[in-house]
Amino acid sequence: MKYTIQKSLLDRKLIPRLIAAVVLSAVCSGHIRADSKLEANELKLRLKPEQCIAMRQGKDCYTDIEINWIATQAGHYCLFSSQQTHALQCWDSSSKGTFTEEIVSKTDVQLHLKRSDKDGVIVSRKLKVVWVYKKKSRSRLSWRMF
Amino acid sequence: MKSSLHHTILNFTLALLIFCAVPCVADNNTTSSHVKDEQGAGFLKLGVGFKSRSSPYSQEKNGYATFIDGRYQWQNGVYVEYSNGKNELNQDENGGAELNQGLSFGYNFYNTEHWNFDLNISQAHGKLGLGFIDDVNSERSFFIRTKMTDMLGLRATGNYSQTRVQFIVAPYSFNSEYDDGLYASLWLAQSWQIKNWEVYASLGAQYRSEEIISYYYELPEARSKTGFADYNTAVNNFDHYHASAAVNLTMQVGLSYPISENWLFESFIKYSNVSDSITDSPVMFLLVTSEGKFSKHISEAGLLFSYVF
Repeated sequence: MKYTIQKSLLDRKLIPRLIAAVVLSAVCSGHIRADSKLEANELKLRLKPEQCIAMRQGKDCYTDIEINWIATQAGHYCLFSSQQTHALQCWDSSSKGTFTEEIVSKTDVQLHLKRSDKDGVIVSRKLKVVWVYKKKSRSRLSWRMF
Repeated sequence: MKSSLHHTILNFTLALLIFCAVPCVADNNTTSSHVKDEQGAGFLKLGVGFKSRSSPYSQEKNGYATFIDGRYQWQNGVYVEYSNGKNELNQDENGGAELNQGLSFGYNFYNTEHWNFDLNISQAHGKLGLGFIDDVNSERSFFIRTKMTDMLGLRATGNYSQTRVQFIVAPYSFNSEYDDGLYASLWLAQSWQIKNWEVYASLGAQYRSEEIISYYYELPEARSKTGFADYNTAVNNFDHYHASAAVNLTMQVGLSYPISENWLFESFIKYSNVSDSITDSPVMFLLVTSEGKFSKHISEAGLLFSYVF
């Protein structure tokens, strides 16, 4: 008897609700995925060049870097570097930007583009510092005077 | 005169070594005194490019050239170094031979923060095989052939940031054809970083004692007969030449630019003022005045691309 009542309930109310819930859940989850995909694609950051080549490990590497970014949504964006706490440059109501500067560093430099009105929306790229002569135990190993 | 010059050089070098070593020993109270490499280390650089070279030892050459520069030191302190093409006065491809060849090896027995001390064997003078054939005046023709001279000595190299100084005193010769001899050198080098370019300049003086110079640049009849007999009749026609010790001065400037993690673009200019006691030798006099193809001093310039392993 109980079974019959439950079956009846399922037949009449629960099944459509479950179907609706499943569909809604699927739509929502799809929407969330689509949204996160959008977020991931929202910012693109490009470095030119992507690496700085120095003669010797431990010496400063100089490069004139060009940083381009593009976003699907206009907003307030700021470009940060691991070399300093304050922003290299900020853009208001923009969906793209270019920044050029000479970077001098002995180690890799991380560059971040952040959207100020949306915490967590961030894209990073690394300017890799490489060198021809690795720092071995003695500096003289890679240098002769005559 | 000869011995006093020897003593002066030896004393000067000893004074310099003591001057270098005393602060090093003092430093050792607070830092590691006997720095040994924890593992073998070295580098190898192979280059190709263009080189122009004029020298009293071989005819002027302009064209394609290969360059090798490398060093490896094992954990136990034994090292080997080789440099050919750019950084050394080396043997000529056409059979002529020059003052230094680029191979040296030895034992790195003591290091401090700034100084490396090595027991070093290097070539103090390359083998010499010089010939001159005068078809018109056959009595002027000659041929001389000598062996190379490897010498054992002490090498001290100081590294202070972008400045490097090196002393070599080598009193022991492995050449069995003559006794004694002293080779000494002093090098001072400075490099500068201009953006990613490395610019360097070096100045060096090389002393070769009278015994060494006499062996290579005098022409005793007995030794000349070790060459081709047909060309030795002229030897007695030369004024008997007594060589004295020689000091050659070398200056070099160069630059390097890293194209990639392994490739370098390099360029250099080098000039060596060859001592009068060498150029005044009848051998060299004939060479540098014949047909204008030889120069009195050594000059080099090169452009090359190098791969660093």
